[in-house]
Amino acid sequence: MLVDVRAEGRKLVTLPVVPLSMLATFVVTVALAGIASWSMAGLLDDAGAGMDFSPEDEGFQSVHFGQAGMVVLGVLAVGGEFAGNQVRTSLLAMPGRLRFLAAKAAVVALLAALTASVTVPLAFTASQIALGEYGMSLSTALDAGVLTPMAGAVLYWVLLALLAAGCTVLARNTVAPLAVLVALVLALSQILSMVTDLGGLLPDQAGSLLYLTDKENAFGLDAPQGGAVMAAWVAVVWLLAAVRFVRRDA
Amino acid sequence: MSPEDDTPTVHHGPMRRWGPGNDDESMIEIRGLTKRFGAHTAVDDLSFTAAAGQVTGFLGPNGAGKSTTLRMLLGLDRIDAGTATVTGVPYTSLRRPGTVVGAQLDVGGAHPAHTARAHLAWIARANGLPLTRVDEVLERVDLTRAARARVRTFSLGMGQRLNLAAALLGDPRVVVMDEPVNGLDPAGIRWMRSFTRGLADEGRTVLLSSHLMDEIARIADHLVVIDGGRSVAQGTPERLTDGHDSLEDAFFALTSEVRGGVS
Ligand SMILES: Nc1ncnc2c1ncn2[C@@H]1O[C@H](COP(=O)(O)OP(=O)(O)OP(=O)(O)O)[C@@H](O)[C@H]1O
Ligand SMILES: [Mg+2]
Repeated sequence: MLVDVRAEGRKLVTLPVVPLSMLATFVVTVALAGIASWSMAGLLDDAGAGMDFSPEDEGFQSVHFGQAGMVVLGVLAVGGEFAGNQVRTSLLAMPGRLRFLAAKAAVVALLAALTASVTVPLAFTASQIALGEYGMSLSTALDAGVLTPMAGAVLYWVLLALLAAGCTVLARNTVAPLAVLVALVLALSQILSMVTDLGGLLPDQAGSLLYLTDKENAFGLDAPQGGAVMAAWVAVVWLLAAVRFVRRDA
Repeated sequence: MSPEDDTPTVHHGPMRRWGPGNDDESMIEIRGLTKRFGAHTAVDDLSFTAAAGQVTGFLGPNGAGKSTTLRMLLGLDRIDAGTATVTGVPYTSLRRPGTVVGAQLDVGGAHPAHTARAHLAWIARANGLPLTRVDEVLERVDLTRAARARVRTFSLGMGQRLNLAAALLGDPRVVVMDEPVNGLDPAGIRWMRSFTRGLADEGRTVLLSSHLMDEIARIADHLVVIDGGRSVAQGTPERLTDGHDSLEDAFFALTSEVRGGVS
């Protein structure tokens, strides 16, 4: 199994688009954090003390946009198998189809965890620095227990990359899952949760409770429950993907 | 007809466990193999074996079921009935399949954005092979100069040779090739022909499919001819060609008999 994971890891990191998507996710998210919080500081200057504002949640705003990078990573990691029929070579090298899928999932999770655990803390820090006098200092942030939502945000990104990868195994192409999931996480799920309470059970709506501590949820879920709902989505998608992938001709 | 008992072996690693009815002379064994696509039976109760030290030519016209048979043998397509084993076991139960069986299927199989070296490197890793093997096989198929080129820039012939390199990574004792000369120029065909012959002369089992009958008849020791998913003739090229100008003539004579007999 370790051999499979290492082979799969080598396959993905030597594909230029994979490290590129990780790097782009990092750069864009951190830059966005700085820019958005800097303009927020300007707003606060104008509005004075009258504004309802949490520097902690502000520090995670860019995580919301940067998550699109995790969708891209998950989709490309699997979608690459269907480019040039690479999947055929993969199955020749690892004929155990579940083993192959497990190795793929493990590598996607590792790459997402690596990206997230660098990006999330630095984006938060960039945000606090850009907020200037409105930002939290390191010690107040630590006192406020900011490490928990940070870990939650990392976990959320990993789950999202896995969800994207699983959907791509099901779809067997790159375009459809990429379009649907990016639209979902950036706008659609927000709109759907305004239309119906059930929207709160969408994977990204539930999962974002892992790091957005005072986000409203129609079902009153707390962070671990939100994470569990998202993990259930990931599990179901991978289960369907595995059944389909194991049964069909390659 | 059977080769000497001390068939030269070039492979490394432990000997495999042979299944019942198998010995060194039937490394690939297909028994009653059947594949249906909906109502269409693409491979129909097909049986044959391929022996060590020989090139077994697997011949038939377009759509005869050659690729489908090889894909079932390699665990890529589901088997509807029958068995297909390599060294006595199903391909899918091999732990490091690349060290036992090398498969060169038709064009494709590599990500277009990978370099030749990166593509071979992950395959080597998946089979527990050292990365030094990558440069060795690139050298062996004459692709050393293209090692850093991206697969999307490859010509058809280079793509074929890349797949051949991938097949040879694990120094396998069995080599399966689907249409290896497809799209090659005359020089490429010549090269592939002597290369394939060389693999068998090293003691490997070579199973090679093609619709170019006479091309293959020149290098094969044993032929399996199929049409419509069924075996129509098996034997040495000399025996099958006997009484005809070419194997192709023999094939058309054979299949018109079969078709005449059925309809
Ligand atoms: N995935 C599939 N779905 C439906 N039918 C298929 C599929 N793959 C192959 N077939 C059919 O099965 C038959 C055998 O196809 P196959 O590709 O094995 O032939 P072949 O001998 O390799 O031909 P060629 O010389 O053209 O490569 C053909 O009639 C083909 O149309
Ligand atoms: Mg074919």
